[in-house]
Amino acid sequence: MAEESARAPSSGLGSHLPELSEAERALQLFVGGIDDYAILLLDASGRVRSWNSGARRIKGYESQEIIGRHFSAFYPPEAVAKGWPDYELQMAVQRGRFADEGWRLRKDGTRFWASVVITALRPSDRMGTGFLKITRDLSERRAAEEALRHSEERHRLLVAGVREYAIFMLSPEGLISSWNSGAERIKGYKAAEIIGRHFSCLYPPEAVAKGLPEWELETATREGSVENEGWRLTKSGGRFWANVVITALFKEDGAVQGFAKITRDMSDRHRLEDLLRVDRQKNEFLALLTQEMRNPLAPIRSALHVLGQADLDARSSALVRTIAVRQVDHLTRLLDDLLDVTQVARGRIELRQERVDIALAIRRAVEAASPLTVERRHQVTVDVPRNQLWVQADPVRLEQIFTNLILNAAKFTEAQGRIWIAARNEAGQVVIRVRDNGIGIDPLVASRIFDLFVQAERHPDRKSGGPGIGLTLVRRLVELHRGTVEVMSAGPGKGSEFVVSLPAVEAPIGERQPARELQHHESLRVLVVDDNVDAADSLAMALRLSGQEVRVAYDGAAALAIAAETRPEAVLLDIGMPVMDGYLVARRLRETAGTEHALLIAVTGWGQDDHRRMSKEAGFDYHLVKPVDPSTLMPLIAGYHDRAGARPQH
Amino acid sequence: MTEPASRILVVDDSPDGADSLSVVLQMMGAVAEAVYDGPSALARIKAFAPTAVLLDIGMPNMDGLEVARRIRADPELAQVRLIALTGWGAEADRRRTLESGFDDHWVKPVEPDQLKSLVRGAAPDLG
Repeated sequence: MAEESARAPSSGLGSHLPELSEAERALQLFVGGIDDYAILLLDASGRVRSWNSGARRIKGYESQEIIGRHFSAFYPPEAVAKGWPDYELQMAVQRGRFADEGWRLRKDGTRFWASVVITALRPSDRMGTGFLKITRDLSERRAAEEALRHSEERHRLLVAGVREYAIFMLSPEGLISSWNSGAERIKGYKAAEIIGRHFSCLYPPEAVAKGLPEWELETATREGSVENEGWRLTKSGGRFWANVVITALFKEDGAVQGFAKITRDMSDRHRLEDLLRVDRQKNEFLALLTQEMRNPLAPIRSALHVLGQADLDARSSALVRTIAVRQVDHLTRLLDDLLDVTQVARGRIELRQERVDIALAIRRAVEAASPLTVERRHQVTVDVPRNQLWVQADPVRLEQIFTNLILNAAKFTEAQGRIWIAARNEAGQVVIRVRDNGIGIDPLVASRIFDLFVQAERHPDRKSGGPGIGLTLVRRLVELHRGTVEVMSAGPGKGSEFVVSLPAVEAPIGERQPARELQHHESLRVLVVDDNVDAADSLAMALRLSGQEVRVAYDGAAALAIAAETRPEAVLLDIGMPVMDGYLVARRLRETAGTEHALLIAVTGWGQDDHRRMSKEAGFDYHLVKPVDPSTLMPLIAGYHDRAGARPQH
Repeated sequence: MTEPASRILVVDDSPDGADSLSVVLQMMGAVAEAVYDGPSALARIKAFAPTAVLLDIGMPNMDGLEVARRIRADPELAQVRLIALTGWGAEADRRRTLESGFDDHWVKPVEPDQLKSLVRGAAPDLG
């Protein structure tokens, strides 16, 4: 203080200030035009000695208003009360230089945030005693910084509080560096458990193996951001369907500073979409099925009307009856296929495999499909060598495969078309080709033609059911036999070719004539049992027409009584009968002398594997599903003699 | 003199469907003929000169909608009554057939009463 007092000028105010020295004038000249900084000289007591344009701009005083006044005029009252201006000068004297940031006053009383540097002048500076004061207005910077700080804080709170989205940050290497409450909720990790770990721990192993996490970061770096949907893991290992957006954050020099990752749990929507899709497909399929069943119903309805007319001539009567029978067969087949498709889909079809001559299977299939090929006047050409191509297969299912392929060809070929069936051994595979000159297949649809619902999607007016059900069944049955089926077509209007490949096997030793071949036979004693009187009588009539000796019973008890009396060689038994059902009747017959070796055939509306198994357990030899086609029944009965011959004699 | 019989052309790629329907129509007193595809229908229609055509929609190659459009494109055939016969009965299906120039949309199987009114020449609209 003593030193300062000693240096303090003796004069009081304004005019008594000493003239600026030459060096001071040079400084004044030099800084006079600087606008961004207030640069002024203070004397040793703190009075203003010079003023530049920056000072005028920042503080608002003209030089004549302020020169000679003490610089505490620039300080708010509370700072003056604390003696802060004097403190600054003291510090500058002690340290040579003092810097501060704080509120300062303008002439009009408003405040601004200032950066102040006060330098104590020394004699060596040739500017006399006193101080050089440089003040910068930081209000704008401070306002911007304040705003940024508030905004960051708001965003941080906002992000932290979001529970619907997992929002977190990644380092450039993919290490997790922040974790919000949504992330905690969706992924199950607490922030402390996950921060610092690599974000690939949120992906399922197969996605990690494919390098998905790295790919996402690379793509985000290259493109700015990346969006993706897929399965992600929770802490407990559960999966959820996620929508993920990763945005790269860049530094000013263009290097990656890190990534922001936003993950949304879409599981509910995903499940809903799945349900909606399945529901839509089911509805389309039901619509398809409905119209498919109306097509055979139409001629049946017409036939019934014709048959009900009084003045009916024999020719019309025969025509419409044939039509009605054919269309009933068609409806039956449709329902059988439908049931089989569901059974195969549920893995409930058992294959009874044996060595089968493919020629035989194809011959049966051609016969089975003949109602439609005949109706549509198609010419069917079969080029399949006999006893040369053998496969290990369930003969019933094998026939079903080719029947469906021939029916499909017949249906999608205009009347009087052509169908070719050929089979060859190609490199250890039996390859069967079913070709037609029909409407062909759009290549876009070809790969999906075996899917259950394709037909409905393709063309709502197409008469279908064939591809809707039959081809689906074909593929599933072929696959059950470890084979493949493909379709080829040069396009619409160019015909189609279905190619089935099945593993070839050796011909059996001592090839024998298959037992199911239709043979000449003697008359058999047959008992028909059904509580539906019409069903029993009509079946009995058909059997009598084929030369059998037939008795009829309408309940189980009557059946056993007649059986005891007539010792039938074959019994056709309905299963679902009141009091004593077909299973029970079959067991009794097997226990009774005279019928223990009879041919027992179940005739029932139930065709599922469970029912077939139960029939077998009850002692039935065959299980036929209503309506029974007499051409199926006759060979079974005809084969009775061979079978009886093969059976051990008692 | 009795009034002239209705002449009805039945077009269905299922011969069973076409044949059985023709027999029914004949028994009801109509002159009916069956063909099994679109091109045959177009080839036959002028010579046969039907009062009505019962036309199946789902046929391979040329479907019933296309056949209807071609018939409607010919001014000579403007008076022919076109009836769609189909397994599809949804509202959208009906709209589509009517837009293709059909007068009616009947869902299979057709009731005999509906056919009777057609044969009698009434304007049945039971579809």
